[in-house]
Amino acid sequence: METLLASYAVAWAAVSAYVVWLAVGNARLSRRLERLESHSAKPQRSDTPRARVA
Amino acid sequence: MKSIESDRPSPGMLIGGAVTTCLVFASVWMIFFVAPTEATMGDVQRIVYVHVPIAWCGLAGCVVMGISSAIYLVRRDLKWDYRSQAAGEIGWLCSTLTLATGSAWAHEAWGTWWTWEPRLTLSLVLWIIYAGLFLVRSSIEDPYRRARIVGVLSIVGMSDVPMVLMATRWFRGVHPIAPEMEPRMKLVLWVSVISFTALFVLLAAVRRRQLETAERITQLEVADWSAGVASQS
Repeated sequence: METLLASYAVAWAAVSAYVVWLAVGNARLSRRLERLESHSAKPQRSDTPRARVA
Repeated sequence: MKSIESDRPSPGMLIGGAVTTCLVFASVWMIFFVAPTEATMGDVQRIVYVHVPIAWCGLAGCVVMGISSAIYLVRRDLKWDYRSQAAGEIGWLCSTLTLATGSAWAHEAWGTWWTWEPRLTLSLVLWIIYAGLFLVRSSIEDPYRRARIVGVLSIVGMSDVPMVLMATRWFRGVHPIAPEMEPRMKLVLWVSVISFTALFVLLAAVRRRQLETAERITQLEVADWSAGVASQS
């Protein structure tokens, strides 16, 4: 019985670890996307003076 | 900035996830409470209800990886390489678990954790093929070159699958070929195969989506950086 339970425990631990790894990857992607969006929302430094001169 | 698909899971994926979770819990319940106890080996025989589905997913992962790579080599579209990578990762996970659960089975049935029996040896070869492909993948920077080289190796690696499947018939070994099972045992085994297949298909779909999203974000980052450089010069 111990061998059976150990086999199931190892299988579930490995699958759970992969699911957690996927979730961490998704969280990292979300952070990259947020950083990109916030960076794109900022006006470009060199654009503003040119616009004023024009 | 170009729009990007939301990184939140789609409704289809959420429904698939809920159905798969129910199936997996149902199969675990059936393994412990519906499947009869085997007369010779006792409760340890229940390892077979997780070992067989995982072994099947490990082999299927290799076939999907090889076919996706072949389609990539024809179409040169990176999304097929992402499919190949996702299938390869799931296949490697299943292959690892096949060796682990098979080893536990071998310890109880044959009195040894490992023996150089044809099917076990070829299963280990499959695991090494998966591991080698990951090493090659991680060592090449250019995505197109990486997809091309890994694609060719995946197709070559796929040749191990029929050998693993037919090992018990082609070579003499101690691995059971197709043992007789009671109808309730067969039912539980089929439910396990379906539920574990659904679980690993879902995980592969999530991983493929993640790889595609990562690639799109990288493209947007490069475009954003290029626009910044151009506006400063």
